[in-house]
Amino acid sequence: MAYKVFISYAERDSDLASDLAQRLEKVGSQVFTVQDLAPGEDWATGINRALENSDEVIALLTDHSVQSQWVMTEVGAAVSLRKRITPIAVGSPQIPSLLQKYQFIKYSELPQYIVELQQRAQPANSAKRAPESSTKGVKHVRVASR
Amino acid sequence: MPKVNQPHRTHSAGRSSAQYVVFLSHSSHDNWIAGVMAEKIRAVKAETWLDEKDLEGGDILVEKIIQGIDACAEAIVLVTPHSAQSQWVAFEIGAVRAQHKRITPILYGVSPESVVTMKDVKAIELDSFNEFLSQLKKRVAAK
Repeated sequence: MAYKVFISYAERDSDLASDLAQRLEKVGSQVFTVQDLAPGEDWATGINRALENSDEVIALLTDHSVQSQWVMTEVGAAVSLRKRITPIAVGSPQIPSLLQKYQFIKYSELPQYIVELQQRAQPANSAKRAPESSTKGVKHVRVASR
Repeated sequence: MPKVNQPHRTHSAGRSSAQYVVFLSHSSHDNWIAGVMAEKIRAVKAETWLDEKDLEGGDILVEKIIQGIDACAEAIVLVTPHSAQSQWVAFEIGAVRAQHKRITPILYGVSPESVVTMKDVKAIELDSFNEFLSQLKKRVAAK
């Protein structure tokens, strides 16, 4: 099973997100975004499903997206699920304080990020059947609220 | 250093097993209202997790918030004209929902549509908070 990447982005940046998705797909990753919701599926259920299944998450940060409720909500979900998150900054957006502890990369550094992602993706892409999701903390999260 | 309220101890020693914790998501501009809501929640024997975010809102560690969400049984969101635009509140909503926990928007001065990410969730007016509290009391007792 392919390595799955979820991209969180603002609608106004859909061209950028599309370009990013193509570059990821070219190296064999499967990309999910809000566009992949099943017909009639509500946003929260769909996004959670996509995030739970993803191997890592990209937050595309632009002047638009840092103001976006949708993007911040998706980031919150990704953090809560203990997913690896990489904020990618296009231009010089005001990085939200809640993302400040995350190592973010500039859009120009994308090629290097993709190379590193391919390395992370190796086990997933070469295995006939993907192992159980090894995302640390997911199961822990589910029982923590006893 | 901003103050982070730890869950309050309830008066009734009762069960020493995990308390029923309600996470309160709100904007720092609405600290007072959130504080009053927290008092009322504690009066029905639930514990509360409440950040007292300073006005810049930047210092609270993401880890502390996630800890609070991990520990909570449910969450409420105080939705006001301030919080409807808040990045932190949006983040907290996403984090709670990803854990499939009950989340109740409590509206004050805004329409239900103002939380774009929670259109599928039933919201109540702040004025009806007592109704929420009596339902909460039942959930706490059932735990």
